[in-house]
Amino acid sequence: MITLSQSTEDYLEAMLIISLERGVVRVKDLAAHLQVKAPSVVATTKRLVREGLVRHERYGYLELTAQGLQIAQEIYTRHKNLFRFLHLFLGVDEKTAERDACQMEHHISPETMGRIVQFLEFIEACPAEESHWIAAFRQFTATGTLPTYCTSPHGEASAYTRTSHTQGDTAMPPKTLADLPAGQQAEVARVGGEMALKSRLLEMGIVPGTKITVERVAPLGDPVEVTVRGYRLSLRREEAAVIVIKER
Amino acid sequence: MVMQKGMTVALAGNPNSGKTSIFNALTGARQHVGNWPGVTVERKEGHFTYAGVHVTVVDLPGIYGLTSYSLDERIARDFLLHGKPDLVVAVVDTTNLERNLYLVLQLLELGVPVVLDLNMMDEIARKGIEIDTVALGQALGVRVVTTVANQEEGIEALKEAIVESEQHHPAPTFKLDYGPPVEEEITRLQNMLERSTNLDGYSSRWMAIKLLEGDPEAQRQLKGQPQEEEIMSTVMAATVRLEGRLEDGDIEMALVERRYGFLNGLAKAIIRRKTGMERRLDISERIDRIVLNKYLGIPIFLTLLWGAFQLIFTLGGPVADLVDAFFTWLGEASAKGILALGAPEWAASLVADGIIGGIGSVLVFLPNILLLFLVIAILEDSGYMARAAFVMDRLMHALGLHGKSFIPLILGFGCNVPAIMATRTLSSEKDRILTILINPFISCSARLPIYVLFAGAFFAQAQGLIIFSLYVLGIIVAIGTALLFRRLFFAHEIAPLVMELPPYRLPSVRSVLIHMWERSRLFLTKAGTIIAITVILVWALASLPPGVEYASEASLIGGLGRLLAPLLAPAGFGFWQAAVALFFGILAKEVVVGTLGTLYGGEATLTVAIQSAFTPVSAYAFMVMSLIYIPCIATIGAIRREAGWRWALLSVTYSLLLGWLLAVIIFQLGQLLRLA
Repeated sequence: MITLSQSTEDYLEAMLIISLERGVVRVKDLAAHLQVKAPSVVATTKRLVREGLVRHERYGYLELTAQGLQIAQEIYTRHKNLFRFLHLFLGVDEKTAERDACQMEHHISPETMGRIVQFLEFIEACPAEESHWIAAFRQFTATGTLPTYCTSPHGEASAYTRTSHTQGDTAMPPKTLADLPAGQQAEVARVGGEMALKSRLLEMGIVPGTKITVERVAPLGDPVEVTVRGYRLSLRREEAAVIVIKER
Repeated sequence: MVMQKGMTVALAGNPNSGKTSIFNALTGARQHVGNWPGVTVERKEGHFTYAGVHVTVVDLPGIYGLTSYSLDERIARDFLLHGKPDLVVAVVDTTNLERNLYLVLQLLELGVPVVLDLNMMDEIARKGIEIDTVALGQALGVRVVTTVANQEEGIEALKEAIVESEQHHPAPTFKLDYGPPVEEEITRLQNMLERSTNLDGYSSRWMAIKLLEGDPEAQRQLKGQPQEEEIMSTVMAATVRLEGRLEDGDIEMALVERRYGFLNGLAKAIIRRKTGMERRLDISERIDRIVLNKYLGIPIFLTLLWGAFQLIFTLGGPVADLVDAFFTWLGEASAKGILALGAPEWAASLVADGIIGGIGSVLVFLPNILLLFLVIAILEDSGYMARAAFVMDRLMHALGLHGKSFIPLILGFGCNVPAIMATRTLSSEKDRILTILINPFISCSARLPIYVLFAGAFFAQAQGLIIFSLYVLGIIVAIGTALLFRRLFFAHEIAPLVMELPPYRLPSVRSVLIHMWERSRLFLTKAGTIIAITVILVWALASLPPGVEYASEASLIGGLGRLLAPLLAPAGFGFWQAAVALFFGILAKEVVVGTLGTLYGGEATLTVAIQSAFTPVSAYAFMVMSLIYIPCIATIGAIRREAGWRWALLSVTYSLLLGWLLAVIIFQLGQLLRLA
């Protein structure tokens, strides 16, 4: 399979849609449809002509070559199917579904696309089965509660939406270094936080299993001083709060 | 004659590892200090010759690892790969082996040739610890040298090891085993990368590891490569697989954990504690118990700060006055001499007021600058600077600044020039620039004569209160500006504190002196040029066209004053004398008083003269204007030197507009109140 850039795919698809609507494709229409300036349309179509996907007709009309048409149809089909999947099945609103389909159509693998198509075919072919659980799903997306016959006791989709990887079902938030009083030692369980902070803490030797002691708190209440691997480090409380500790 | 061979060596190491001492010991005073391209992070380069080999030493920023999240680490990484050093000397604080060796491990994984320098061996010996350097060298596959940099012990051996590496080409052989699931993915990615990608100097293993860690710089490296999408989808798949197989489900964390696990084992294997030696209570801990004490911490900090302030300004002040007096005398004497030779008056004035005055106005700062860097070097090298930041961070963080911003701000009350130079102690570029930009609003001592003159003339009963209100206004403007600029320019870029509190150490005289001299030299050459040129320029404006009385209404500067006066009218002082005085204030704020004195016919009658020219309201507006309107040229020079032209221009524009606006608001409000 030839990999095409997203803009190439967008152009071919747009040309197909315009030709279906108006019969002919002009640079002006293409520019309006893609919301770009005419000169850049000209530049890109020149490239597409070179690549044998588009033909220049006279009077500024463009036409898809057989090869271009094939690709355009493929993408357009993908787009329609993704839109159906997002809007009709998942219940994503029309605008968002349209926008997401536009993005997904370029990146989705043939395998995943194939399964989505099969899935759509399946639920359309078996409407009796579909009715109640699609309805239940709609209700779930709207209210967040599962029907009573479902297995999760609280009706929460916790396993998928939970952001932290921590094990255990306790409702208590994990204890962090910021909760540790001065003079006490704990063992690091994991390090979170945004990338730059996390990387810095890790390279300073704060990794799971490391023993860390809070030595003292600054006179104004923040930051805190800790010892780790035999040296002293100062951390703001907000930074200490991304270091999850094990209770000892 | 044999052609002299040359090689380039990069010095890498953690902050506080004694890297700077090693650099000084290797290169002596033969140093060149500049900036890394495109940023204001300092780049030091020096030279030495050993056994006929000319060696260039490049001092990398002090770093803890080679991620691409910190500017310093990115700079180091870029230089290691693209600067193509022949060798990297990794300086290690032996008292803190595990964390220091982490960087060494990263250097080895990056694939650069390394000589390992175990520094501070004397402290190890004092603690009764022995290190098996042979085993360490074997485990990492590198040559190991031991030094005590501040006593220059082991430097010759280090030089020898550096020069000999040229013959051996110590290609790194070290490879850390990350365990089966990770190694599988690394190998898979490595194969792909080697087949298809231009790695631009990176080793395929390093690249594979960094891609698995999700390092943005490694991903950027792949951009536009023919196989980018294929590789990235392989990385994605590998990530998903590994997240399932690793205990924590976090690859970066697992890899770092593995490295530290290895280092922990290594340290245990090579460190031997001599028995029978009592482990003394850590001296640093004993000092910190007092210095960082809940109740004593802040008083001790303020006392030390007061002492530093006194040393820099009270002790430096008289010396600065002497320098000033000397140049005044020199100017007058040479003017007389030139006139005696029969030269025209303008030539004498050019030499006396222009050239000698220009050079003098630079050198007058030297005593303060020298003392400032003496104090800073001692505070930094002793380890107290980090404690000062620790004590003040809460307050400064509320303003979007760093704990280390506090000292430069306080120094600003003395003089903004050394204060801005003092921001060098801040490691984040953003924090530094922000601290620099708000510094000119801290009312320096040069502005006091203006306040004294005007407050004395108009607010005799409430002099102290009026002057105090100006200091407070300066602080408010500084805080407001900090909050505004943080939002405007550096939103979401608050640097983490995560700061090491190094053990207390006695600063070495040599390091302190080198530091002091280098910094002062930089001030003289970089900031000094701008200051001297501006002084000469203003002299020319005040003396031209030929034959006019110096700075009179007929001179160019008088003309400029007349031109600008209408602009100042809304602030209540729309006459050319005020404009000219403010113009001269750019040279140094205290010059405003002297200029007004000249323009109103002598300082003796000045109070009476300004009482007729100003009203109390316009006098207060004028003081506010003097406080804010523009940093003096020496401060602008210092900003340019530390942050670059762009920020210097911003500072000038912003303060001019703000100063004018505040003066206008105060005058107009005052008028309204008076009418009401």
